[in-house]
Amino acid sequence: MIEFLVMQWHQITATSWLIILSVIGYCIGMSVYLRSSGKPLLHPLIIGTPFIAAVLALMSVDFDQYYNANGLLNWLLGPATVALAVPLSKYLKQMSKLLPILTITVLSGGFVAAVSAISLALWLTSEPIMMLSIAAKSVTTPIAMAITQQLGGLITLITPIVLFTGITGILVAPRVFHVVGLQDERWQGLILGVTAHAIGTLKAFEKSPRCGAFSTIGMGLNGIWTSVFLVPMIQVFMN
Amino acid sequence: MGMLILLTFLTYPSGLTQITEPISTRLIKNLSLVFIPACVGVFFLGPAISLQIPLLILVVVLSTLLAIIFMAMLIKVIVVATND
Repeated sequence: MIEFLVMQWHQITATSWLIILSVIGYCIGMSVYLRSSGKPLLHPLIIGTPFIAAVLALMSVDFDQYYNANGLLNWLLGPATVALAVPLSKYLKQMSKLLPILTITVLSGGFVAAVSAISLALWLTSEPIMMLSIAAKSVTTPIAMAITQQLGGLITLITPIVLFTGITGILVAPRVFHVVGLQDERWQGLILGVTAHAIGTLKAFEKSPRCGAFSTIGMGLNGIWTSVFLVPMIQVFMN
Repeated sequence: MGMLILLTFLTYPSGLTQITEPISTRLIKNLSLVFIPACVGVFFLGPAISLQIPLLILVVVLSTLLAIIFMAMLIKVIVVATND
């Protein structure tokens, strides 16, 4: 326990002035995103990160130096994951009647999302590291990063993959809902939360608070479920 | 694990929700900021991994589409079955 706390302390105290670059990149990305009225392709991460990478290249700062200098932000990933329990608890009671359907759809949906990504990655790339880096693509970033770290995948790859999954989800989901004839916004929200995590949830809240609530549940439950089954399943598969 | 522990505490009536809600709302609202350092890393990947990116994009699009179709059809089946 003490060792863990010391590690956390070292991570935070490694923070240096380069963290300002992340804040500036985020502010630029956020201002573009808000001006575009929330267009998925102008997400703060898509706008902010190339700017930061360009500045780092101009200043000849290597990525490891920059990453360690952002110790405080990297440490905040843990509390950010835990914080997701708060909106989840708010809506959990209201949805108790629908719990059987919610459970079946989230468990099977989360499983299909992960297994299809693993199978396709193995088939198309034939690189185990790619499979390990893409397996957690359908869960929200803090949980996806923790799972990828446990699996031994590439942390730097999972963040943009999760982001791209969210953008893909909100672009294709309305078309699928139309073709399948799924009009109920509660279920639309749930699917957006399970398959497109935080980006899907933001989109669901734009539709209605009820749609957003179901999306939050889908995102939260899928995060918990995937973190439970994915690591042991892949470890068994790799052995 | 931390998320599950907090969720367990929050399901029981206490003052904990009032304390945690303003902090968690602010944290979740600015979640993208926390992801920036790791996301920048994609521009510094080696050429071997960069070559795989188009295939990874294809994997993401296909598997996301598959998961959405599967869930939408499953919900339709369950809703129809429970209404009957």
